[in-house]
Amino acid sequence: MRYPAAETAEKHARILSAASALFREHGFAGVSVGKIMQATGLTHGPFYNHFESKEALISESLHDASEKALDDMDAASGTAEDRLAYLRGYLSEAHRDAPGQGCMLAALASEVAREQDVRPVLTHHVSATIDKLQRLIPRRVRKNPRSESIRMLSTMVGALTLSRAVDDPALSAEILREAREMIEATATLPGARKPRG
Amino acid sequence: MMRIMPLRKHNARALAKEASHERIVSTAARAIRRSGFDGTGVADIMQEAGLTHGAFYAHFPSREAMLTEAVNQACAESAAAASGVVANAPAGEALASMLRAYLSPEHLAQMELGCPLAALGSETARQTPEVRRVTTRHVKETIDLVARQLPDWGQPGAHERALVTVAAMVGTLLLARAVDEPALSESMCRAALKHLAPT
Repeated sequence: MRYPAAETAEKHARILSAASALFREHGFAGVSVGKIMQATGLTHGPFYNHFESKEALISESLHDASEKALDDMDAASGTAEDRLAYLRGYLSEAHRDAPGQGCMLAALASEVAREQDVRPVLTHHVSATIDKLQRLIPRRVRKNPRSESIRMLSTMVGALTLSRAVDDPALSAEILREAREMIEATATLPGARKPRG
Repeated sequence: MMRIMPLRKHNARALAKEASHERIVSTAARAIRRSGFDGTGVADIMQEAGLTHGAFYAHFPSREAMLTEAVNQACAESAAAASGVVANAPAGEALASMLRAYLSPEHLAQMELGCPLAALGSETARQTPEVRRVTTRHVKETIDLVARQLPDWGQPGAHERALVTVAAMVGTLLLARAVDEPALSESMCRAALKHLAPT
């Protein structure tokens, strides 16, 4: 490369975060390489210096989004309040309305099922999320915390996906609210704030 | 010309057109679940239905109109399948049977014949108002179907639990299909069933 390494790395990171946001907003088919480069403010030309293909960009950008999401979960695993706030935030209307910066599973899972190349990235993300969710659940005596964590993840992703899919605002809000109550009932530590507070 | 055409012949033509229309819709209902909304094109559907591309606009004003009918058909098929499982289940086993069928390896493998909410879940939010309206109606009907199987149906809380159950069902299937590790898919379905349909 003719550019200094730091500059190239910075551009690379910029493309990744613009791409993963646009994919989460519009789907894989709904975004062209040109549109992504436009969003980064870079010219279209250098794209292929950074990525072999759009498919390579899809995988790499989701890997990038996955690492950031997992870091966010680590940051949320401090106090009981932090953990509850994370879970509530996931099932919030704000998260529903901002797919570009949100959960890639809810934004893209049905499309990923058709994209063989992307499935390993998503699989890793699902496994890692299941592990980290266990840490967000209080250490109570549980026979199988992993099973509990899987169930929470499926419910959260399903609720967020449906809340975005339906066009009835009342139903959408109700889906999020009820899932939030279920998750809170599972995750509430003794002494933590009561749900529906 | 039309006035002197024998009625029988006219009817035959209308019936043929109707049959073609149904063939396009059922082909498209599979295609959207297999390839997604973005991956479903008019030319491919007409070819798969064994019709000429040119005939398309005699049936639909636009690709969007076809997609709406396709998702409507997919929802109807899925609702009929769920109702069938419920109707044939032993007493008191309706919800468990429905969940076991929903999270079965067969349903997991048959995306193009299965639940459109799981097959198209994350794409639906980006579709036309008509597609979302049809999907919303199906979500409500599915919640109602689940609620009616709960022992405390009609009591406070039953509808809310049905709502969370549907979210968990759809989320489980969505993720179990997206991951490419069979063991992980299985453990996801098992975890959901353990909680939702304990044996």
